[in-house]
Amino acid sequence: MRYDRPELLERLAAEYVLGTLRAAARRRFERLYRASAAVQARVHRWEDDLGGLSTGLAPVQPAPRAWAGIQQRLFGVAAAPARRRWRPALVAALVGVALLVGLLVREQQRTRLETLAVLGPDPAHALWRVERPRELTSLTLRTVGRVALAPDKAYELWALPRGGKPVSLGVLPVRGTLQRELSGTQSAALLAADKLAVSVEPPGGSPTGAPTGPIVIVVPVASAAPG
Amino acid sequence: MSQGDRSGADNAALEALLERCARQDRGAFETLYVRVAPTLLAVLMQMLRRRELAEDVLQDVFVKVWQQAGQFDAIRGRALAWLISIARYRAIDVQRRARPMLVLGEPELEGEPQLQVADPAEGGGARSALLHCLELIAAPQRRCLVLAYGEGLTHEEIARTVGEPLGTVKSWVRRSLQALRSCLEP
Repeated sequence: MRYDRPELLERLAAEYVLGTLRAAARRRFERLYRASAAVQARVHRWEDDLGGLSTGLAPVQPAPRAWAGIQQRLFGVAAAPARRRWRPALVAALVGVALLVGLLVREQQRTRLETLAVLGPDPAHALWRVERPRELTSLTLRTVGRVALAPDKAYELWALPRGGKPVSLGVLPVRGTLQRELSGTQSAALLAADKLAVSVEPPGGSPTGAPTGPIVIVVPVASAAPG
Repeated sequence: MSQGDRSGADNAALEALLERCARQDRGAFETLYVRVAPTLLAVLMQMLRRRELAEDVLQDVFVKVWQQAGQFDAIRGRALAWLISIARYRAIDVQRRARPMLVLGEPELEGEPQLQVADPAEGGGARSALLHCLELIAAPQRRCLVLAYGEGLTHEEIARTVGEPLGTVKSWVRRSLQALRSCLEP
């Protein structure tokens, strides 16, 4: 590729900073950056201009282990910031106590499940009850009716976020109770969902990530936000 | 540089700390960490999603910052932009290596990228100029830019996320960047 056209150089600099260059093009451009002050100037200008998108984020406090890891890697010291060595230990102890109390409280709350939705072709014929802990990190799927299904089919549960695409919550059990951990995507989709749906899929669930078979149940979710 | 007073002062203070880091001053390094690690971790969390991974990458970033604090030409007058860029580029490299996870695992991304509302008291003129210029770009195109910058998505991932053809997304990104440049420097 010829890099001496200013428009091309400008576009590459912009897309390098944006992050949309492919890996190989990215490496090539980095070599160019190291070799040319003109390229550096263009890159820096884009970094300065777009940087405003980063500074608007709410700061996140790193865990103490991050600093300890940096110290370890650079200076080979166990941990402990240069100043007052007792302070991190005290802070860690206090954080530990707070965490323990928090965990105990949360554990109590976590064990309590709320019904998120009852799935069935109509309210008189419930087939599954979908329950959630207070923190939406898992779902408990209880079979409460007789589920009839051909052996080469499966029922798959979907969250329908308002205005978004269905997000799979996995295959429903045919009998018994199943607890399923949720990924961040699934939790987020559930938080945004106003409906749950069930579709008929091949065993193991939809191969495409979207419903492929007929949707047989759609029920409203009252509110998935923790109350 | 046309940044406002506060970010200008911040940059000067950060630059002074980096200069001391270049002279192997570990106390300055710790002060720098306390000042900017939360900002950089926010950037990394947005791109990498997982806290543990983001904190691992944060360590890589500060190791690099310590080693490269002597690059005065790249840092002068723009210490925060330099620090943020180190974090973003490191996150992009890590993301691209972990690519199969994205392709196999997640059909959709969590949440939507948010364009932060300008706070005139914060960030100075450069940031509000950027937000003003971004607002002039049509929403679907702007969304592509924010997804690329904020979350480090590739053209292909953006195309999947917004449900537009790859070619459309590529030309949207290219034209939005041109529009941004001419708005920022008329």
